[in-house]
Amino acid sequence: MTNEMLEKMIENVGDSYLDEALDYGEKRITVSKKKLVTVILAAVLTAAIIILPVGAAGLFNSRRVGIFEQKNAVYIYDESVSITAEKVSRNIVKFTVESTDGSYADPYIYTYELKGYYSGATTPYFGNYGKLSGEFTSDAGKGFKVKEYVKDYALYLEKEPYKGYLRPERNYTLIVEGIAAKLPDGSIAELQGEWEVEFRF
Amino acid sequence: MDDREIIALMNARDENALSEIRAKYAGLLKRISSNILPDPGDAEEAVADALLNLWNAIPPAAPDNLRAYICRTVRNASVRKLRHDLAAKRSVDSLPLSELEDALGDDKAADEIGRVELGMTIDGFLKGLSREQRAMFLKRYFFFDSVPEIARDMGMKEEKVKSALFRLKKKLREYIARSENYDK
Repeated sequence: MTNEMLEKMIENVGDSYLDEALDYGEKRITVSKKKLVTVILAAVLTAAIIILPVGAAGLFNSRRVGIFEQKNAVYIYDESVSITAEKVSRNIVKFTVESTDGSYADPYIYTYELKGYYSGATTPYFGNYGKLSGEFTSDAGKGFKVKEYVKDYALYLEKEPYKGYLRPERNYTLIVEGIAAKLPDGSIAELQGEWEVEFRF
Repeated sequence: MDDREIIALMNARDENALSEIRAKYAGLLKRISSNILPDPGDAEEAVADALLNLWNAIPPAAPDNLRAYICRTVRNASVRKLRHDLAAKRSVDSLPLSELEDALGDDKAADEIGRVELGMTIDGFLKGLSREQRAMFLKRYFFFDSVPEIARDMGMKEEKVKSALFRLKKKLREYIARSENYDK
């Protein structure tokens, strides 16, 4: 008997027998400690594998000239901005903003928790496939706004507050407007403009 | 909320049904999916996919036993995902089903058995077992619990579980052989 036939045979077990098996013995509704350790180890290894290559792979150039605003003054720079995207965890992405001409201190690093508002067609209870737009919140309390967040596959969203997470081996594009950056004097200001950041983990 | 009320919400297209299912069965569903998919993100995604399938299936489906129905849906969604994800690398031989395959051999004649007949075959086999044997068999080969987990759940030593599973595989082989001879 082939594995496929066995699989079909087993998956057709009657509901009453499944119910009986679920009730038999001690009910366990949590992941066992051993499995939890395995899962944590796997997650750590996966994170290490994911993070290592993205420093290079996540580097893209900005596509617009920025206007640098600080307090009441406006600074305009012709320099392009480089953004490095690095996945820290499943819903945390770290962006490093860099300038090559010393217009502002670099690199400036923000970490962002992925939050947003689902605009797809189906209920956010499920694994949805669509766009996410809204704002990224920064650990620094100041950062760029995300005009549009696009994914190509498998973003899982929970209902309120509609948190999502980034999955490996997927293409992501962020269209962002306004990037926080650090001035040479150490103060933080917002770089006005619109950038498209593409990355894949 | 009891399962009949949840099904009523599903029939009324009320998404609160899914909140109730999550509140009531989240741990169980996570365990089933995690037994099959080692990556926690994949396991979570499979549960989400299964809930979407459930939402699309009920109505018109009206399961008598919602818990078993959901468990089956999550389990099958997880196996499908594993099969899809690993298609290029390896088959689902990583699941304990390969143990059964090894025990039963590669009998092509069994391939001719229809899906419904297969369900009847396994139910007929299970009917002839004790309650303890049925639970052990299904924990291992439907829910993919590990031997140590089964031993802990059922209050047995691991060696006893292993030897019992060995005997069950032998029984299944004999049962299927008898069924095939009867058909001829």
